[in-house]
Amino acid sequence: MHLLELRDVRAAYGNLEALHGISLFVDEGEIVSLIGANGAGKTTTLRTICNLMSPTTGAVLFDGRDTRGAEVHELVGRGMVMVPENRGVFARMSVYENLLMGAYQRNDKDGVRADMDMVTGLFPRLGERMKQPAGLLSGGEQQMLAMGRALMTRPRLLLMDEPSMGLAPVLVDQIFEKVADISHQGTTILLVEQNARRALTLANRAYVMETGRLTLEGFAADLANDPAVIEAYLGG
Amino acid sequence: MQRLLKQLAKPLSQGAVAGVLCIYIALTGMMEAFGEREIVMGVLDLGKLVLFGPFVGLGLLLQQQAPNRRVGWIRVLVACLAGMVATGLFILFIDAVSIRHMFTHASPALVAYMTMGQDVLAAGLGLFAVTALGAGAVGSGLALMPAYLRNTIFIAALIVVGMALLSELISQVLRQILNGRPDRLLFSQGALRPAVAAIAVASVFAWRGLVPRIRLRMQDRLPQLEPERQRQVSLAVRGAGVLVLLVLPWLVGSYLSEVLANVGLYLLMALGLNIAVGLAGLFDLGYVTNFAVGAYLMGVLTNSGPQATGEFNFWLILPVSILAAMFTGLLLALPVIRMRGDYLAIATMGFGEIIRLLALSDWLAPLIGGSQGVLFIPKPNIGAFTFQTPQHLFYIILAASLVMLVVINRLDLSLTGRRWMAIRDDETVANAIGIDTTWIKTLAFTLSAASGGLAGAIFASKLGTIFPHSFSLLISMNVLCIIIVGGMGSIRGMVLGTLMLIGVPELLREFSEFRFLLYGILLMAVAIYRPGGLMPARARHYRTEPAPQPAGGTPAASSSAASG
Ligand SMILES: Nc1ncnc2c1ncn2[C@@H]1O[C@H](COP(=O)(O)OP(=O)(O)O)[C@@H](O)[C@H]1O
Ligand SMILES: [Mg+2]
Repeated sequence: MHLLELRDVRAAYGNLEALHGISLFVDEGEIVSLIGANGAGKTTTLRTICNLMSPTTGAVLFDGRDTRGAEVHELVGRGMVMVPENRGVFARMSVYENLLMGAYQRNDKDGVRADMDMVTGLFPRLGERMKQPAGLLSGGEQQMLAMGRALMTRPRLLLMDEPSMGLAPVLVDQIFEKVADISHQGTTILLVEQNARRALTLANRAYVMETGRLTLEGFAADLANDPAVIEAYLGG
Repeated sequence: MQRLLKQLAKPLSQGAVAGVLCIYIALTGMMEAFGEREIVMGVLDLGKLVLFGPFVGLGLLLQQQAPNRRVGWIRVLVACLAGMVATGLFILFIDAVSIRHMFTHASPALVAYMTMGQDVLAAGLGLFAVTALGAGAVGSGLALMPAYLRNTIFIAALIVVGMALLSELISQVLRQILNGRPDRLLFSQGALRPAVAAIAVASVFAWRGLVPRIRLRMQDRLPQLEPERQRQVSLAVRGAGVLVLLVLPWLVGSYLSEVLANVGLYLLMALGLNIAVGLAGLFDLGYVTNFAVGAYLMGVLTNSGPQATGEFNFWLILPVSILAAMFTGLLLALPVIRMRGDYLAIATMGFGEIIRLLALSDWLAPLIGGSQGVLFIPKPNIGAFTFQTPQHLFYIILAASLVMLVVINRLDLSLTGRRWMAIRDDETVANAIGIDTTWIKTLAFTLSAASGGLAGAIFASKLGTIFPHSFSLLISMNVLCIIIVGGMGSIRGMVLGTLMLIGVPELLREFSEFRFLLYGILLMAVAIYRPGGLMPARARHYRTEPAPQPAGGTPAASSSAASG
């Protein structure tokens, strides 16, 4: 059984269909990457997976169960969480408070504290800035905070929407390292990226998306050598 | 030539705007009404202030924005001329053509007032022009002087005008403290005596001259206070504040206690609505619903009139009213909580109207009196003592307000408060990281309703009778205005906003017909110049983990990085 499976999912904004039948799966322990140009429908796919939008037809299965009708926060409780596009940190709250927001559904104080230590261990920069307002962090630090905040929910599946967007190359390196670390700690990852080269280096498998459809799929290493992919996404 | 015109276009248009403002104020009748209210006896009245105030403002703004003095003076002159021409033409026009059938205030009396009582129109216009130019020059002068001096002058002016407008309050307090009519030394029919005004101005200057030195001295000492001492000092200050509040009703007398009681009721509502609007970002335009539920429950269950149902005691029904309001809040939240922004505002506004129509309806009339209202609601009592007068009732309202202040302060800093903040910042993200936004918002609605129910219950008992028309949309609007003017999410802002929008207008009853006009102006001014409100929510105390690291645990990577 796959950890996450999409079966012919269609989704629309009003009358405008943005996803024209997406089928994909993610297995436990994998890093799966979804790459594609701007406007291809990657964010829409993630929003549909975590029920911020409901599919018009098709089904999303998480851990074998259909997610239809579940509240967004219920899915978080079941172990699936998204790191949103553009990070979405709560600017006026401190780093600590932001992390705490991720622990909303948990009552185990010790567990929360342990996870807080785990997050600051993974992102020492956050540990140093616990008291600062999140709005004053740099872009890279905000991305780390958004990731840390998502990890505070103890996810089994982490959905990441373009974590490298708008970051300097050296920071992109750091972020991708952290994604690898998170994966090593046993969290499954679905990584949406425009930076195809980096995503394909990191991922086990990948899907290529174009205007609401998946056009290619396979092992990341194979896709990285696929002429069509090289032409379209890896700069010839 | 074209360049010159371009240069002068802005001052010309701004001057014209100032002129149009004058005309508007004149046509609404404000100028004449204000003209009868003297600020400093025989020297200045409120009407002159609104007539020439815009010219001072022009002088100040244009001179401040000018690249150098010469350009500044020219612009000020041009703008003042434009304003004068606009206003002057208006005066000539209403003098020659009667438009009183359209604008009742465009009367010969208005012309006489604007031309400062001169018999010959030309002389009056001349005097007006000279004064307007003078006002512009004063504004420019203000712009050119050092900021500290300018601010001192503003403060002095504010104090003089404030003292005159609040003369009734000041007189009342003085009369309570001293025998006889000490207020007659200060005021004559509400206007400051010129000598008193001079002394007030001189005191402000003296004080502002001394402040920098005092502050220098204080700075040497203040940081030396240990945190423990600082806490004691702040506690003492708060204690003194409460003490002042406790004697206040006896200082200000019955009528002003009544005003204070009304201020307190609105403060309760503002604090409650602030939970929904200020903390959780839910635009609720139907807050009067909660007020009405609280009031009707108290009224119906305690009254001894035609609607008598049990005639229970005030203190028993008080918590019941609060719970009922919360329950209504919860019920109403269910259908609308998923709506956002404007839709929510419209839906809640509908609830406010529904509750009023229900109160009016024949269907519920046997129970709650319909348009006849509920009569003979008893005042609260403890044993044999009845809270009869406004002074007595003030204490109940004060106690309720203090309790709510503490509760809301706690809420603001609580985990729930932070979740509201998260939702207000970005609801989608809050939801995506697992916060049950529906529930957290419902909680905000429900808790917000409690304070409204409390206010309503006290209101019913205080008034002794309630009628459906007391629960109009206007109440929701007033409370919302308080929050916006005071500063969303800011508790100090609520207090200031209530005093300004509910307290001050009661003291200026003479201008009550312009109340909403002034509300509008105030709202616009706040929206433009202080979008966060007069006292915006303070920067939060950023909190970090309270507990120390468990002993023997692995040292955190951060600490090793910091030391190494
Ligand atoms: N809120 C929205 N309303 C309407 N159309 C949208 C909305 N968000 C995205 N779209 C459209 O859906 C398509 C897919 O967008 P998106 O999923 O954001 O792409 P990506 O994340 O791959 O850049 C685009 O054509 C976009 O214009
Ligand atoms: Mg996107």
